[in-house]
Amino acid sequence: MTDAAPDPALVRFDGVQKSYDGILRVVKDLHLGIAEGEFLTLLGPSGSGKTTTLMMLAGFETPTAGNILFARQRINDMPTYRRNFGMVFQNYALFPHMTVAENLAFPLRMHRFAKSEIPGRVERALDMIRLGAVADRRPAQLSGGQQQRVALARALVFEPRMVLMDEPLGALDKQLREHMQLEIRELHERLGLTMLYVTHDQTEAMTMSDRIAIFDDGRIQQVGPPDRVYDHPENAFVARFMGENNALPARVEARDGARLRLRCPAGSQLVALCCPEGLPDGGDAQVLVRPEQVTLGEATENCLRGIVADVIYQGDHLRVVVDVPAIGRLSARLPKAARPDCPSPGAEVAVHFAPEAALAFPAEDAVET
Amino acid sequence: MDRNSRLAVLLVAPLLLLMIVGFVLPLGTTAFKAVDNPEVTAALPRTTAALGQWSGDGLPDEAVYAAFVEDLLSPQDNRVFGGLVRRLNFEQTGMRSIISGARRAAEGLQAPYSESLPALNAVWGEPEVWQLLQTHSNPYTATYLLRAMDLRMAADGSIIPVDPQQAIFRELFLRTFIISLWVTVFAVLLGYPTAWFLSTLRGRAEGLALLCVLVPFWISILVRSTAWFIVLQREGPINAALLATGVIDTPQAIIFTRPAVYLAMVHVLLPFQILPLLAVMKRIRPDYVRAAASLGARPWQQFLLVYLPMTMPGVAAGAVMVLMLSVGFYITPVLVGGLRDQMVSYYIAYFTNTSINLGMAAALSLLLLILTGLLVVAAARVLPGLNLGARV
Repeated sequence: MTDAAPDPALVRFDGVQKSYDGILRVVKDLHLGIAEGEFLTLLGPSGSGKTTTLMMLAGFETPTAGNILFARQRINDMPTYRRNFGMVFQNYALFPHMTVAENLAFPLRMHRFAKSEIPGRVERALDMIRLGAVADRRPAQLSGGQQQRVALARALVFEPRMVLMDEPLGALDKQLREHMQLEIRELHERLGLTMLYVTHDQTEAMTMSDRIAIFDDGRIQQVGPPDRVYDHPENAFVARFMGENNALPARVEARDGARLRLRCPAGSQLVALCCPEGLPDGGDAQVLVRPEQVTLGEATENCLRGIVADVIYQGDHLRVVVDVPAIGRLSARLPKAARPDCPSPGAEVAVHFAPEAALAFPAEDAVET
Repeated sequence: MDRNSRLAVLLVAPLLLLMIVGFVLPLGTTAFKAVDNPEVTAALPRTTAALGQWSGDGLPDEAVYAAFVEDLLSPQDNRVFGGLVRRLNFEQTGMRSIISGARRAAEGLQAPYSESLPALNAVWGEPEVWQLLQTHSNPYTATYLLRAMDLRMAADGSIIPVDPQQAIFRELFLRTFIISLWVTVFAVLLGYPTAWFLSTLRGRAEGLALLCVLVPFWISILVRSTAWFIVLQREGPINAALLATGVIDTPQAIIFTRPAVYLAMVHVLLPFQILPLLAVMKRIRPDYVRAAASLGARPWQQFLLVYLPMTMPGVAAGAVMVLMLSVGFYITPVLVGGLRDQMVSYYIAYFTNTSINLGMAAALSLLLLILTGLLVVAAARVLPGLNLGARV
């Protein structure tokens, strides 16, 4: 999968590097384009360089090397206040000494909007987030969700050229977070704004993004639409970071076009697709299979036997954990309808999965998720 | 009272006791001393009783004269009599010799005393001296508090200003508050950037810099003021350095001037401004200033519209503390200031230690306390952030 952004992109990171101490590079050779009107999410574990990337675009950090271009102009050294990007912070950073309305008027005053225009714009912004009733309250008097909406409105009210968000939903509880994800997605569709969003939550990234850039160790591991990075991960990190995966140790024995034949330590044979980077014959590999691809029952290919360790009822599905000798635990996600026939813990079962659903990666690519 | 509330009372009892011993008692005593007037009644009990019948018009009758002489003749503790003399002399200069003269001559006086006493000293034949005695035979007096405001009560009971030569206290209070205000202004101007710089430091540097602020804080005010005394004196290092570099040819008077007082007081009080400010600044995440920048605020706008208002609670807390402490300053102005730079507490000490006029000392203290309280209330209204500290 290559960068699908139409060129010229609105924002382009061109070989950008960032190091705080001159030795350790937090961001290593970043190439990334953001298209006008696109919702791009930077996803990755903490310390992966995603927040530093956002901070460089916002102007709070300067790249050590490389260029950041906005509308084909180099903005490396442009001060933040001239960049005209709306920004939403993780802790909202609403000014505590100003009312909600004053917070919303602040960017309008700074950008010299006509005095007569400001109250109307503030009012419309408050209507947009349905918080007209709290205009005269201080931020401390609002709930977390209300503060979040005010912060969002403040970043949008002055019609910025793009909006940057740094884990803006991190402090909210799960239900509110899911609600706000939909609200932000809807706002994006309605306003057609270019948005750059940073998160470590892959569900959040999948819900909102046009494209996701997955960061690890200062590099982009893969960029693409949510379905692409989920179904066709380019490396084991992406595969394991996006959703869940069972990892089965195996060794490559033979190849059959795009398919590999592998053998597990216990002797069972596996058939899996080869990862884009390729695997040598006889090389140690890990075969990754998502739990929803694993089904109970016998099959001719990719069939493993084990003992049911646990059956967990999770509301919308069942999770069956199977202990496979010499391989380890395998998790299967079954529809609720399968419940009556589900084996109980201690029972011997066979599980299988389609070769197309299994991806083989090099074993050295051991990743903690 | 159930068991729980008894336990609660028991638990707060030590605190209550401390409050009473350390706060209510001293303040109450001071307030009482400022209006307490026991001297005349103690030394002249019979006269006090006899004057109670007197209308105050013209001269009192023979009974009062007789009671007065009897009081003078009765065997008396010299301390009680000394108190009377000091007290009356404070009210009216010259009373010391008048009363003492009467006491010495009392043995030889013949009845009717309404004739023999005025023969001894014409003062006793005039109503003013008896009015004075009558006024101060009251156990309470407003004299001290009035005097602390350069006022006195005339013989007819009206309140009038004291003689211009005696009027020193209004100017003294004004001077005290002007010095304190300037000290506060300097402390804010110097403390703000210092606290900001400290708040940007991390790790070792932060600890070291904080130590630099705290070490002077741990040294006694007396020692620090004395150090300034040494540094600023005519033969001190500052004059020596200026002479050596040829900036001046004769040693300059630095010590015993107002600038010397400001310098030493600001130095002593600066930590009280820096520490609350630092506490507030440390709690302000860089996000707020960044948010302001992202919303289009230029650096000076980021400071004036966001950072400064958010640090106002620290400015206010520190400034009020510096102001309150400097209003009561004593040792530093005494050491490095001239006579025209002394503050109220200098005179409180003078009345306590030198002229042994506890009433005056108490009245000055009480007035200082009241004025400082009013100032703090006013400051709390003017400085919006003073009670907002917890919300940031």
